[in-house]
Amino acid sequence: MSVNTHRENTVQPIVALNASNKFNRKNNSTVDNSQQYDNIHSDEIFEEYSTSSKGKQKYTTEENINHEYTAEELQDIAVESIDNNCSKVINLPTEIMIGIFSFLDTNSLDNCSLVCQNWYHLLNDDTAWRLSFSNHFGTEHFNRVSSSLKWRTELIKRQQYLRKWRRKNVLNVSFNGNISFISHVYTDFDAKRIIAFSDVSGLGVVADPSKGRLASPKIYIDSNLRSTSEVVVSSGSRFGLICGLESGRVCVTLFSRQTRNRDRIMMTDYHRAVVTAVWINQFESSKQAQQASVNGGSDSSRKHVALSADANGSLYSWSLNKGLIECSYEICPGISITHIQSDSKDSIVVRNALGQVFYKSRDKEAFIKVGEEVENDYEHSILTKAEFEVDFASGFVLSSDGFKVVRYSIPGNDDNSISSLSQRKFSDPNYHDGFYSPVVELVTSLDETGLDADCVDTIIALSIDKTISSGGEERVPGDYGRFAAAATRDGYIYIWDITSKPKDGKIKPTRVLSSPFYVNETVPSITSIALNSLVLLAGSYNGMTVAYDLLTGNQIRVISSRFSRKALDLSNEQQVQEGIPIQNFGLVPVSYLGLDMDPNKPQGVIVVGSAIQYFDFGSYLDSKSTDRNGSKKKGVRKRRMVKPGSLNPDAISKHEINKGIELELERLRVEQTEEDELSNMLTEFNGDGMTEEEQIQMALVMSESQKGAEPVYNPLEDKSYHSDNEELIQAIEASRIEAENLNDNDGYEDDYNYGGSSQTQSQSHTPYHEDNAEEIHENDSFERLYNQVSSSSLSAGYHREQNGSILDDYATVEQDELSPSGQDENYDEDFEFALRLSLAEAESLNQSTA
Amino acid sequence: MVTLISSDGQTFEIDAKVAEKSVLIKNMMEDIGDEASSEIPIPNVASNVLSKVIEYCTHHKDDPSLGDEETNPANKIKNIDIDEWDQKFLAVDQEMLFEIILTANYLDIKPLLEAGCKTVANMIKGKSPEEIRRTFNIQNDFTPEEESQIRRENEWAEDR
Repeated sequence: MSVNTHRENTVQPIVALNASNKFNRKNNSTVDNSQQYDNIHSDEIFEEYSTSSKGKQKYTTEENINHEYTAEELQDIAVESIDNNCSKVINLPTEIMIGIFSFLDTNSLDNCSLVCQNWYHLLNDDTAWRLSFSNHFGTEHFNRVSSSLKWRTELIKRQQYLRKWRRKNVLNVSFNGNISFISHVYTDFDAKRIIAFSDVSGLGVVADPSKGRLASPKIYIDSNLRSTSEVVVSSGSRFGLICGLESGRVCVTLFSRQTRNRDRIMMTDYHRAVVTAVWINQFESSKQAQQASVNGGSDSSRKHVALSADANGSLYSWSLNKGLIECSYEICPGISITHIQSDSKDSIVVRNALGQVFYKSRDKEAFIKVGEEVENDYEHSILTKAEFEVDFASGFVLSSDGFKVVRYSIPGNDDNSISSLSQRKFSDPNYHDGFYSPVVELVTSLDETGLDADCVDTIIALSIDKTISSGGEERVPGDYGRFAAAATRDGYIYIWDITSKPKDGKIKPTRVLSSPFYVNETVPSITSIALNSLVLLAGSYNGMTVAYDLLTGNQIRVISSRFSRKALDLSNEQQVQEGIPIQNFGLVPVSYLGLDMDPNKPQGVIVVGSAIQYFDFGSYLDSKSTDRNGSKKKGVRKRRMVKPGSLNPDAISKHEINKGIELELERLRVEQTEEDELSNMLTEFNGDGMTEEEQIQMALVMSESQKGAEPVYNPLEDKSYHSDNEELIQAIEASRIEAENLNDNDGYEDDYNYGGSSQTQSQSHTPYHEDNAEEIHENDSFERLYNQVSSSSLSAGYHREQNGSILDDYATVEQDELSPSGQDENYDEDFEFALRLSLAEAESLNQSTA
Repeated sequence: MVTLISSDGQTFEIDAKVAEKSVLIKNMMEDIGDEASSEIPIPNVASNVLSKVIEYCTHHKDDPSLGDEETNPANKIKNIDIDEWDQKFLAVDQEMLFEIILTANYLDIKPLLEAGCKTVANMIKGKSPEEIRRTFNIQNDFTPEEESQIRRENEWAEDR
């Protein structure tokens, strides 16, 4: 047997090769099955196999066929096979080996390539990696995240990038844009700059999202009015912002690297109707484009900088430095243009209110209608929110009238701006025939049979992967697939590969995701979507954003932190149970999602109302290293960190100091206002002309005098008092000493105490003061003390009401005894003052009772 | 009923429904036509392996056949998890396992082939190259230079 095995091992590669050819029937169903039996070669292989099965029967007896092995037994068998030096794994045909490899993860595959030459060569051919990718992500058509031509790299990179999205403790900054409802955000992630603009108010801000810092001043359209509601439509890029106004005017704001430097250009020419669509160069600095448009005399090198279109179907290309119309096109007279897209190199695609799409290539003078005539209901086209996306790289236009998504293809041209993909696709005769390509509908229905107009839900949002991929004619991983996604009112997200070949004029979605926040049909659960070649972000009505793996459709994470998950769950459950529409809860939907198109940079912007949230899942590790070097960003980053547990001790102490200072400032401010209020109140009750000390003293004396011989709480015994107002302490001390003096001196007692009727009156006051004393004991805050004092002065006022005449006496005493006594004055004077006061009081009381 | 004849002459009389799990046999039966009892020789499969494969087909005879994969892309994501019954069924020694895989491939029984491949993949998963060699009794035919070269190649794509 050992001889037999040895022979087999040497013959093995040929056998395996033959076997793989002959045994591979599954991709070859048309082959006549009987051929198998006629083939001499296969008979030879069968012989080979029967020899091997004979050898095998030596220890694979009938008994253990149905025997279930435990792990230990299997181990024993493995050891046994080592002893016999006859493993059959290398006898397996290549195809089966690749099949086995396709179920392995990347690490195991790398280990396999190190096992032996045969396996190394199997894995060096990318087939196993391609199948592994396919098993992992369920597709072989996608837009690459790597620039590599190897499936292995693509698989490893994609998994690596996806891991970044799962990171915890990442940079997550939320701040308020301070402009009302933000309609658009244009991001420049490399420069850490975002431009947020609100059509409603006509205001915009430039911000550094990583620090949450807004640059001033705000962007405004009208130099006279800081805020204007005139903006009908706006569009922008990281280089500039263009606004179409109701009056037909067009205003452009250009940004330079320094956020403060902006050029606001109000065009001299204007549209004869409402501006309905605008476009500004997305790809290069407007300054550069402007320069190019100025210098470039010849039409061929001219680039569009800013475009606008109006309700009359006219489109203007603007010259920014003159504010004049450079060229104008009458596209569809009388029908308003709703969308403009351009690749900035004179290829322009527009969509009008009827859903018609027009295209102009750089070598043509006029616009040509793209696609077949689509049935259109003008009324409904105007009523619904149209979505329009163009991918110049793949040459596809997606247009949605709100009820269905239609794919048009724009003809490729010789320009390099449209990648080889479109050339390849367009040269394929089965694919398209020029301008009048068949309209391809993207199916938004779970039903396989197609779509019924009534059951298709309104399309809320549409987005297309605009990651620019470049490559040669070679077959690359993903085959230049390109994804687009749309969200519907019923809470589903449909993902299509828009480059895939349509079947019966329709492209079926590769994935259909359902929103985790779906409530009912009245609430569009998905309000905004964004995608790149790696992930899909879906923003919900409740301000939450969920990230999905674009290929598998698996949920990666929930990003938004504006509302806590707990709060969300509660609201959801309650609302659903009670059958109340979620709108009543006052949740703010995600109105805009921005995503870095570089799949290696997991960062983006979420806009909820006027709040902007910026997240960067990639910078966590980087920030950690820069923090050690004492980066300027340290404080900001640390404070914004999601988990406070990650704070280092240094940051904590700093943070605490800052907090302490803040608290101190707040306390001082409160103290100041309370002091002011106190003095105001005292002035009100006691009249002007007295210093505050005197007023306080007087009030205290008055209140203490009513207590008579009762023991008085000594506030000085409470040490916590020291932190409070010194003046008050002294005032209280003064009154205490006075009271003691009074108590010691019996002779004054009669004078001091009220007569019979007033005795009861004073008793009724006593518990009140006791309460106050207790309060002081419990709480050393200034506020309590203030209450005590003010209540004392109130009680003084009370007496004043009771005995109208006391006022006069009081005033007399005031005038007579008025002295600028400081806090260091001896108490005799105060005592005398108090005595006179109480005497006057007693006198007046006696008079009134008499 | 269909009669299958193994390489060592044993006959297995099975239900047509069971036999149709194999795309190869199904096609052959269609070719042969409506003959009452047809004998199909399986010349390169030994009786012990064939009986095992028949056991599998009998157990799975009511499973729905895998539809057109293109219509449902969600099916394309293949999990390494194996059905519990299959797992126990395939808990056999390596020799038998590989014979089953080869037979499944030859007879074109996709689910069995897949389950077999997954079982082997599970044996490889998480093991170092040396452990894999020991498991399958494979000779290391790399020179140390070659080995370090491959390691470097592998690492290159992983960083960054």
